[in-house]
Amino acid sequence: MTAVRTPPGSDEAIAAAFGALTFTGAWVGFGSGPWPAVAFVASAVLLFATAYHQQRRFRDANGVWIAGAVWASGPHPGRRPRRARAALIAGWLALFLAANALAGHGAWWLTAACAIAAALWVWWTSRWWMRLWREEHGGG
Amino acid sequence: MAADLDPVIHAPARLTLMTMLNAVSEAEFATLRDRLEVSDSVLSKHVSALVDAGYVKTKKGTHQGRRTTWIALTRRGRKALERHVAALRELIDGV
Repeated sequence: MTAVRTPPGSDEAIAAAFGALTFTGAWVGFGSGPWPAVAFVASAVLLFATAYHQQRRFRDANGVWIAGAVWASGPHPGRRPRRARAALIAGWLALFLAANALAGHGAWWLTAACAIAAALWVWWTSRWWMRLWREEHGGG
Repeated sequence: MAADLDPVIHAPARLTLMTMLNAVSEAEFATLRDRLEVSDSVLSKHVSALVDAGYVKTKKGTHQGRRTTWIALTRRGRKALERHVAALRELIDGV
């Protein structure tokens, strides 16, 4: 496919949702009361809703739909997008675990910093993935 | 080796179409038509041939507020494309 473009703000919205999930994930493990669990479920729902909404915007902008299954199975002739995708998941997971460990020590500012780093990582790797995807499919 | 080349896919427009569809879950009719630079009727014929072979499937939907057709590879179509591309690669390696 050629000349696909990501709708403005799409990567940022998904990255922010991942950041929120990272922070609430740490909070649910080490916070007290029902609010951490409520916030975690809300941020998980927010992440899915955001991802779905942005996929719809991508579909409207490009006339193509890349569902999660295709993204996950990666039917690409090259292997670099797979590497970018694996890096996205592995990096986010590492930062999620780091945020959990920091929350366990009560270092909430550092936990928040980890959540921001997770959001930035998701933003950067998703743009990397899309750039490779465009290159592999000859697009602008 | 030549037996592995799939005559249904081998026509350039169909091979291009299948390759485009392989990169996505589904694509809209007009998007494919514009990127293949063919007419509606030509694309319809290619899509019909591929549907008959069980390589692609179509469904009615909307895009930007208008009714359109969305086209996707079937699992059988992906496998057929993989085999065809492998056969082509093998053939080219011998050149």
